[in-house]
Amino acid sequence: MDFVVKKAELLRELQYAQGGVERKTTVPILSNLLLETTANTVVVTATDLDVTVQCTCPAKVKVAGALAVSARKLFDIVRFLPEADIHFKSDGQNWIQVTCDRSRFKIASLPKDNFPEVPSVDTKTIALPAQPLHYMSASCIFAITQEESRYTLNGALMILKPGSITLVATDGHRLVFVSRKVEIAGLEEEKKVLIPKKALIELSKLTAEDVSSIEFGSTENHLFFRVGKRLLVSRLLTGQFPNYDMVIPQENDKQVVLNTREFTDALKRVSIMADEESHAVRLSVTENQLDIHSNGAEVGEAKETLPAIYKGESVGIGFNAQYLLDFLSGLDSEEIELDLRDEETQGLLKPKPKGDYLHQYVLMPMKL
Amino acid sequence: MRLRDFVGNQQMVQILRRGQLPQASLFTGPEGVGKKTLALSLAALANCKGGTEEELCGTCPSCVKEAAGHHPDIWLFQPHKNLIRIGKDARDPNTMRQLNREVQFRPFEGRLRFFIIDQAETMTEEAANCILKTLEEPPETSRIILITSFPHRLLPTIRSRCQTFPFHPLGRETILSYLEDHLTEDHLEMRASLAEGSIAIALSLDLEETLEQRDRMLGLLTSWCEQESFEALYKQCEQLPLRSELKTREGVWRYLNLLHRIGEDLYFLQVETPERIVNQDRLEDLQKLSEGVELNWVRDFLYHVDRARWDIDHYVNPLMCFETLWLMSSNDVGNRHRQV
Repeated sequence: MDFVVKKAELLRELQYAQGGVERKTTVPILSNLLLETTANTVVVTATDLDVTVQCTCPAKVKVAGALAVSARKLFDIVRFLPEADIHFKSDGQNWIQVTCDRSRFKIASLPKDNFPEVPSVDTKTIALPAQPLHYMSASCIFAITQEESRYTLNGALMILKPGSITLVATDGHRLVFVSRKVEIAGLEEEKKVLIPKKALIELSKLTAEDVSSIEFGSTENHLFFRVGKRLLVSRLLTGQFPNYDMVIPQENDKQVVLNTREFTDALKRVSIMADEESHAVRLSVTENQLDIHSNGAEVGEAKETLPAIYKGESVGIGFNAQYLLDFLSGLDSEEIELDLRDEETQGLLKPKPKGDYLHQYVLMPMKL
Repeated sequence: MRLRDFVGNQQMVQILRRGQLPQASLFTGPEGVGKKTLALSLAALANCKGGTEEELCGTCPSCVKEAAGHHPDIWLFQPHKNLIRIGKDARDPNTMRQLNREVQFRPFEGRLRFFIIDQAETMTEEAANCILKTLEEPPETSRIILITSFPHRLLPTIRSRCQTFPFHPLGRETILSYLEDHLTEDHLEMRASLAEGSIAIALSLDLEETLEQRDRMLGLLTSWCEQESFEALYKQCEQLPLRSELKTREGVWRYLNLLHRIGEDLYFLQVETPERIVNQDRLEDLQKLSEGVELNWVRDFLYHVDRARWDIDHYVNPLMCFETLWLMSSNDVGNRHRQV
């Protein structure tokens, strides 16, 4: 193997690939990157089995080849090299010589055979709009559960319909539902897939760049996302995602409209005095007014009153302030609508005005 | 390893390579008869890209990775510091929580995912309990194989969730022919005889030391049968290295096995089938010894050695096991025992 690449170009791809590398060495080979040459590019592959990231970097290839090298070492070397051409040359055995300007490195490498085989995209792909997907994935990652034992909640459910994309994520205490009307070409029937959390994080990183559409495909075992010249492959989670339709309340008739900014700031202040484990705050709604109240057993209490647009019976309900803030801090809408029914029914939050997205957040109440 | 190279337990190999492996299985049997080897080979077979339905090719990328221990769909869990643990979280390598997580995924590049737990009896109670649910209903593309030489040390709840496949010790001829192909030293026959039906033991056995230990036991037994005096026995046991070796479980276990072998030889002499005698090199001594004992005593002696081995396996104090053995095989006690 013998090729020359530009430092900046390689570094940018390595940064993306770095996301896929295993940090804990369960399987030692996974701390490596696979470098593979094609006619005029070098393909960099990293995987931790959950997520595989494959990036392509233009290169002048003299001798074709494929080798695995330590990801950490290669990344550090490239990071600190001067802005110049980097020359990679393998000695045909276990070493790669890396030359750049006045620096010379010799890195140990492993044959390609040891590296897990990257699943091939031999399936029909469909084009999805990149920006909506970026917005939607960014707005539901926080609600994906941290509990490793609830495997089916370890990801977000993506529902593709000929006229819309929907993402749903939940951890059993709250649920985010975000949907957008988009024409998806080439999609004949509804498609539901579970995207693991890590894949969704990587996907939102990849779509942060200026791309207009991505290609999506799925097989029995894997999901594929092609973003420009980069490929993200994720393992498919097995199992049944909960029936989210049942969770979204339909009969919450008490609609309170609040200023997002004011509500967020007030919650931040009041939650200081909330119980440190439960983060519980009590919201009491009366005509055109919302009271937020917290009471930490031996710490003290806090109370704040906000103006609200509301007409109807008064109602009180307890929520986890942290869960409310997780949702509110990611919003850019000016107002927010909070739909309630009674103190035992889950609350529903929606940004106002609606905009292009149907964005809903369901939050289970707390007994106070 | 290719399945056709697998030595011994052919019936089991034929069943497993053909039929579908159950989702959770338990391979039991003495150490070194190929339980782990077969489990890994079956995993390689299921994922092999060349080869046939019943034989792996050994050369495709999948087989190469299996052989190097890099295959992303074949996981081997082994005790770390003598225990298989539950682990902090699902990312903790080589723990049962990691197994629980990994089992949930579909194969990465192969057809089936394999999770092999070697020396499963070393699982802590929490570790064992945490995989019960997984063992009960693993996803259809995952297979779990537990391997143990001591199935009774597993929780009954684990055993009842797995289909058991018992492996048997290999015959002397089988081991001998294997050794002839793989070793180039003399005394292969002796080595095969002393291997307790296990290829791993046959290969790793220190022949010289084992024969020394065997002679020590033969001496002990001879003097016991002549005088039946505890005093003389104690004197011999007080000498090094016997004194220190009899304090360890492994030491007593080894000596009990050697005594069992000698007992069997005496039995074969008594029933006049000398061709089956293992310790051919000490035939004269054995014959002399055999003349002084009765067939019934030999039978009882073998029974008591077996009992002692069972006790050792169940954590009875090793020295006590060894002493009880002689007490039980003394003619006085033995007669009384028989009357009761």
